[in-house]
Amino acid sequence: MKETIQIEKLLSEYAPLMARIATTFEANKSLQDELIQEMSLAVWRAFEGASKDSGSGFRGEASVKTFVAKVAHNKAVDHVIKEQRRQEFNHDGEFDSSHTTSASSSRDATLQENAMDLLTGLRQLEIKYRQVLALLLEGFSQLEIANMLGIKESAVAKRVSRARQQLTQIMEQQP
Amino acid sequence: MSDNKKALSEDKKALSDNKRALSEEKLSMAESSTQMNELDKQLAQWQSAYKDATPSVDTDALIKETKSARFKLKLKGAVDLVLGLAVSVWCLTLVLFEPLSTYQFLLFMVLTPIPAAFGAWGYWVRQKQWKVQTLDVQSMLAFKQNQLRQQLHYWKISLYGCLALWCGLLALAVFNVLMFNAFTLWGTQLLINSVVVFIVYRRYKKLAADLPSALKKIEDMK
Repeated sequence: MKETIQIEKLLSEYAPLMARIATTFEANKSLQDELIQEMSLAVWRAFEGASKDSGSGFRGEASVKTFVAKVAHNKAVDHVIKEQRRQEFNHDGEFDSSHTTSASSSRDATLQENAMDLLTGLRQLEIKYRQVLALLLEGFSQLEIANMLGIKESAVAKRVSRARQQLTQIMEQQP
Repeated sequence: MSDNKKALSEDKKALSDNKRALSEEKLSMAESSTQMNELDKQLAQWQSAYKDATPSVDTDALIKETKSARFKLKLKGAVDLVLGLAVSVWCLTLVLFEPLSTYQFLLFMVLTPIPAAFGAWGYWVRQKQWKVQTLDVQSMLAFKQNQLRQQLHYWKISLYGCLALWCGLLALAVFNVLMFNAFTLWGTQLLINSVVVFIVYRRYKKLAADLPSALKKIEDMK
């Protein structure tokens, strides 16, 4: 019971993080919601499993946030693989901007427009570049990203540099 | 005296060159620092925009739905396991307490562990699935590639199994048609099984054809 309450608190705390990861990998609103729920379930099961099995799980991680982000990213990549198979991935046109916090002023509207431009740009990047950039934008260090992705820190630095170049180009081309 | 003057002039020239080099270096460092600042500024802007892109999430509803999905998964797992065990126990009861012919006894002896083993295998697969989610992305992708290869392997084994059963059925059909002229019954069974074999074959061929591109797509994500 105590564990359930802890996991509920954890899901509440990290729901925005999971939602951001979901929007980075999926443009369709209903599929985003599905993905967020899948991520939550995966995080729950991973924590449950981690408490039973001390050899795996979040105990070896730098932080709980890193663990949640890793599980959420894995789920997102899994989702992309499945969607590629269904050949329904990347429906940019179906993105529902009303899903984000509603804009109350023109400044907010501009901020939201910038956010939408960034997300649209991010979704056009290859998965490996999208991942490193999304994690960097979440505030993770290159070492943390390297651990989450299972690659070398130097490879992360290279990917970040290329991803930034590509995203800059994409965003410059956007109307 | 003239040599001294010349040396002094060369020293001055060298000093001037050094100053110029130092100034160029400073300029280059300043440019690089400006570039870095611009990059940091751009990253900060993107970070802020990324946070602004956070979709509104009804966390209470999310937790409720997650709880319900988790309950359904647990229930499904428990039902699978209990049903498997129940069938195994039933088979064991027959073997131990019912008067059976040798053929029936052997059949139920072989059948007894299968449902329970299937339930245990299902439980193991589910445990493995959550563990995959806790791996790093590269390992998870490698696991996915392996899963695709294994899937093809299972379909290949299924195809061979279906073919073996079909051959057995053919032999029985030929025997029964020749001996008892039961053409309709055995012909129908053979036809139904041929459809099954054909479907399994088509599925196997489709998976085998799609495998290289599916593996490449995952490889590109690494």
